[in-house]
Amino acid sequence: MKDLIRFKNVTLGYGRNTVLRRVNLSIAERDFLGVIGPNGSGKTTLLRTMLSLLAPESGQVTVRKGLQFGYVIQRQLLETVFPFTVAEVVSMGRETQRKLFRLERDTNRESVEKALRFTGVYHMRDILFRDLSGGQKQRVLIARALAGEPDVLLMDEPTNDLDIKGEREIMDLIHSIHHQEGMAVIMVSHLLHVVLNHVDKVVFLHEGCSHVYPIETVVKKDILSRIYGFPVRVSELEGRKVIIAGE
Amino acid sequence: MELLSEVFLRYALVSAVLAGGLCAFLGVYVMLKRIVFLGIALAETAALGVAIGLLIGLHPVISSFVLTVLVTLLFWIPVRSSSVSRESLIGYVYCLAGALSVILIAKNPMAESRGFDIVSGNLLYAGLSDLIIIASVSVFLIVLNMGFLRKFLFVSFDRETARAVGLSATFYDSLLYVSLGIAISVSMRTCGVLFVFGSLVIPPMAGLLFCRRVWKVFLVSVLVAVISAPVGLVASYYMDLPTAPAIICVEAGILILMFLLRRFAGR
Repeated sequence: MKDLIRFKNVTLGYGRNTVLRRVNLSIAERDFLGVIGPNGSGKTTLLRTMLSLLAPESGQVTVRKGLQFGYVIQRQLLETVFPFTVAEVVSMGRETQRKLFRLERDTNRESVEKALRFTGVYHMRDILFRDLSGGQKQRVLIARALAGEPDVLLMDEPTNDLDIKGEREIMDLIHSIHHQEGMAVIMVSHLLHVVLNHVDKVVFLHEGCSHVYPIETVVKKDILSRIYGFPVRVSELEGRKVIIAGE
Repeated sequence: MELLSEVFLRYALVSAVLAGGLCAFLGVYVMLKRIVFLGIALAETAALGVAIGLLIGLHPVISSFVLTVLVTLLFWIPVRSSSVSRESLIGYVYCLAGALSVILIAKNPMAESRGFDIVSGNLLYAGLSDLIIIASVSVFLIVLNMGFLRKFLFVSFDRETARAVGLSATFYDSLLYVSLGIAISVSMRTCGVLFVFGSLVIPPMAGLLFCRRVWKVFLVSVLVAVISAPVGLVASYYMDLPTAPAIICVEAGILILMFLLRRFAGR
């Protein structure tokens, strides 16, 4: 397996405010990585560093040359004043491939249509993005990321504020992107049950430190209780992992 | 038609159509990016540039252009302080530019007589050179926008993702801000602060209120400004009103009319 992204003794922060220290991490092709931690633990900071949007304070971040990112931003951060249709939002994913003063290329149109169909929003392509429900918006943002034909998909809290059905549908979609398309996926979430049921590897961020574990280790050992300083157990129910907090 | 037989009125009309249309077009970004007060601060800065130009003997368009672009770039730099917001900085620049321009005009005997025109604008003073400058800048900025429209919109809508996928958000954002600075500085000289700010805000409001497609928002915004110019000019001619405020009142009237039509149509 080739490494797509590698962190070596990386310290992250904003000026004098250090958020994470000595992060060591590697992401390989076909990895499905979950980044978990309480609010303010540095999840988005780590994601922004992977995307080269934030330079590390120290240490080394290596990104494979030519690596194409697909990024799914937290949808709550987007302004609703823009009257963009679903198709217009998804076609933004091809913007780097567009040439100035040139007509739209067929490859761009095909990629957008394929992404719209894969995420199940093709029939909504002429509807305004702002008029959609939370789950539908999330699908559109995933479609936009896929339209760019990325090597790795990074998602920031993709199931935030979704109801249980919406959460399941979005996770099924992400699961199929990983398994059918074989794409490396990195997902940030503060929802333990969402991450533990889908990923292969977990990065826990806690009090400025990062800990990387394969999912089997997290489930079998009492890692969660140690990290959260509070009894947390992982149990299985009908093949799915269930989080039990407290005694 | 009798009205158009006067050369100065023809110049005034073409200047109002071009400057109004240009500001209305770029105003759509101002509304979408929620930087409305940046428009008034930049218009006031452009007025200060005119006052500086008149004081030091430099062509007011050049001094206004340089100062406005510099201040535009200042606003484009992200504000990192947690105690002072960007809005505070905009308010600060607006107050300082407004105060300084009044002081400079008051202290300049050559400019004092035209001080009121700098603030409220008097399109009737528009000359052929003003018209040529506005026309050239309009063509340049419209062509620039034709090429970069999608990228400007992407960066305005979701700067973080645009950067993540490899688009130079800094470049496109600064280009958009500089375009805005150029349009405001060039229009300010001929049309005044009120006209520029009004055209940046009211026609795009009409577009956003009435349209559910981005390209239609731009189109309706420009149309409102372009239609308001002759109507306002005719009204100001026959009712003996100041020209720029009359045009802005027409823009505002069209907005109310569109709002009522929308309510009436049940949309």
